[in-house]
Amino acid sequence: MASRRKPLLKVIILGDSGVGKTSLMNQFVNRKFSNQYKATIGADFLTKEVSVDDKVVTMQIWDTAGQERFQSLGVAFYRGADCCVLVYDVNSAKSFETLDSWRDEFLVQASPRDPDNFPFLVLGNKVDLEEGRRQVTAKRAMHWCQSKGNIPYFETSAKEAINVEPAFQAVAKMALAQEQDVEVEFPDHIRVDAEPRQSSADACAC
Amino acid sequence: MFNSLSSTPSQHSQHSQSHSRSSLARTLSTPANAHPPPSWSALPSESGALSQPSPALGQIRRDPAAAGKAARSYSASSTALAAKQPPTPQHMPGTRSPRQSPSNSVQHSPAPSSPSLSSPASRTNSIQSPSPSPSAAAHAPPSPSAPPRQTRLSYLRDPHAHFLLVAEEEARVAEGTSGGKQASKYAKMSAVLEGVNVDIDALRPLAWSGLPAPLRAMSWQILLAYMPANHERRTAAVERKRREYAEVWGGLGTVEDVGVVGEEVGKAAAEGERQTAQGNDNGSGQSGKTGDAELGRTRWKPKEGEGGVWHQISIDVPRTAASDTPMFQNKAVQDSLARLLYCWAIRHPASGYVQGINDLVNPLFVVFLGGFVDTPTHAPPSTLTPAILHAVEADTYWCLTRLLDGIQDNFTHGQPGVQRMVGRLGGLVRRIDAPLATHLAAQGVEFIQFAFRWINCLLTREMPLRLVVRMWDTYLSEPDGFSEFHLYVCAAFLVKWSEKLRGMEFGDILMFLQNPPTSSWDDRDIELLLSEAFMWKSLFHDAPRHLEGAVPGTPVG
Repeated sequence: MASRRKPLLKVIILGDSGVGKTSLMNQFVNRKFSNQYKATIGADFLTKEVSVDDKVVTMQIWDTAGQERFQSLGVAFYRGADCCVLVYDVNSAKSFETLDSWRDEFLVQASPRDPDNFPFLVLGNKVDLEEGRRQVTAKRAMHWCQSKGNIPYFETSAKEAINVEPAFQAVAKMALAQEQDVEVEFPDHIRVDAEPRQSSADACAC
Repeated sequence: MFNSLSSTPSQHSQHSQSHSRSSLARTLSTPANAHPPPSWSALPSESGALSQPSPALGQIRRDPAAAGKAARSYSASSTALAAKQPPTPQHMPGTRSPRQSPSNSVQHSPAPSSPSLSSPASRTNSIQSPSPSPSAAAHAPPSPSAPPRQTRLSYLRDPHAHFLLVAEEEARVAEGTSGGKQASKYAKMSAVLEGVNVDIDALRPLAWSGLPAPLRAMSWQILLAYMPANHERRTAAVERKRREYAEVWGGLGTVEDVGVVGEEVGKAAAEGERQTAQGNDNGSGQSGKTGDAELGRTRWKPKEGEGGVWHQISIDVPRTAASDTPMFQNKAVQDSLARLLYCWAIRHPASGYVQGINDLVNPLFVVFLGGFVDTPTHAPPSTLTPAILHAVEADTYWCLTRLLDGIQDNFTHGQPGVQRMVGRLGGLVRRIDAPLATHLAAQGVEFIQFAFRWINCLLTREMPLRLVVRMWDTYLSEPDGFSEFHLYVCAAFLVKWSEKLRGMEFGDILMFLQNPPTSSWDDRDIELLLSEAFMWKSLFHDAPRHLEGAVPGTPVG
């Protein structure tokens, strides 16, 4: 069931307001940093092609609003996600402590087929700030990640482009694995879903 | 099809071209100096839309002698007004009453509790006009020996008298430069605004087709029913509201003495001193002291609780500042915005602060600041005195309250107002552009994915600020402009790109709609958009059956 289309991986970025979700996405996609990103309303969207194990895939990244008030919107954006990136700011204990609720909320609203094995990834961002401001140790973060089923953990700086590329490479890999996993188990669902889109896209190309 | 555009309010219900010129002349005394004053426009790059800058206008604006004269005559009149009335106390309950004459208000006292109404003369020296854009750069700043008039404190004292003055000056500038068309608009505006009772029904159609920048602050405040239509009650009413607002924030927070706060303020203070030293007008020593009090030695903080709200607002305000609007980068301005947002949120617990409300504050703030300073988007820090900022903050607070009253359920829990409008937008687009609706559906694009922000922030994210301001002239004159007309504007905005979008796939569609190419738009583009929206509204608004059968998710083939 090899598809002629490049695999499309849908990735959702979640986390508290101001932890750097938009900056991480833009650093990864555009290799740029600005401290002038406005607060995200609803969700922002970017795509990027990456190669995973010699296979070119398109990552469709949804950068969501951090204010809790927008959580009810989640279902419109989370549906069909292949991987969820949870972001916190290592200099804000509160942003770390809310990861639990972000994860739970995602599982409720996206309702993935196999919630226990849905791929998450945690990014501790803003490691470029001076050590004295840090409120969450790597050890504490890794302990939480282990307790949630060995979620991979990266410490990043969107500003200094530290670890951003490797983190999103890992995201792509996990998302692809998830996508293939789903295909293997539910080939018919995928095919039925994918066919009309394929044909409509072809129809439009003429 | 676009024949129906001829029935838009921009063209009907306007008075005859020559009307009210004579009444304006009768009512207003002519200032002694024969030169027109330097023109100001609320937003620099908008000048082209108000009147195509002609060589003649450039000449006038570059004429330093005229500028200097106007500044001095203006300062004199506002000083006279200031002397008649003591400064409005905007103090917190429990603090020492700041009833001081303007002359002693420059002493070191906490800025928020005693806005220094220092003499306008000291405001008019020391600063040069910024050159924010090519069009503004054409209006070269006068030489230091002939300082431009930067602030107009008369607006603080007596909005009515102030606007009569402004309207007349602008009318004369426009008359001399743009073949009478602009002059006629100013004349019409003046005729409406100069009455004892402003006729709102006459103001609306004028506002619909775009307000002249200098008359915008007052017009918006009247259209939002913040400023009374009756001019005899206006000054007292506005002063009372400003005092009332000071009591609101006085009750919700405390003013801390924070000393010199950070590098930014240090730099600003140094800059202030340098400018003061360069100033060649009188009162330099005083303005140096005033500068200290103005540059953030005090900081307002909420008293307790609601730390989450305050935190959210404090991180949103600085990052909402548009990079092309340096005024919003100013720390004192950001403090004002944060405080008014916080007060609004606490006083409206059913919705509280929702991200995006901060975007809606900016057009109000910039327009109301435009009542005081020449180029509000690029206002030099030294013109942003506590007195002016407090007045603008209070006016913005009340007008924000009025505006949000009309779209309350956009921001209550679950944002039903936004959700409903997103749904209606989908239905509307299926009726007016079925092929586009079909294509979007085929690509898996849902309206919520792009239109949520269009509605939550009223398209302020998708348009340059100067165009949002123009758009709101129309919204404020429409019945239910923000809650109803906006729907049709969103529809017109989407179908504008129909052809392009129909050739795109999912990802490109979304990225296009999240960053629509409006940066090069001018007033004509926005006016076309508004006219189209008016047309769609005329066709569909009173004909709800047109939308029947438009079930969400079911494209009309």
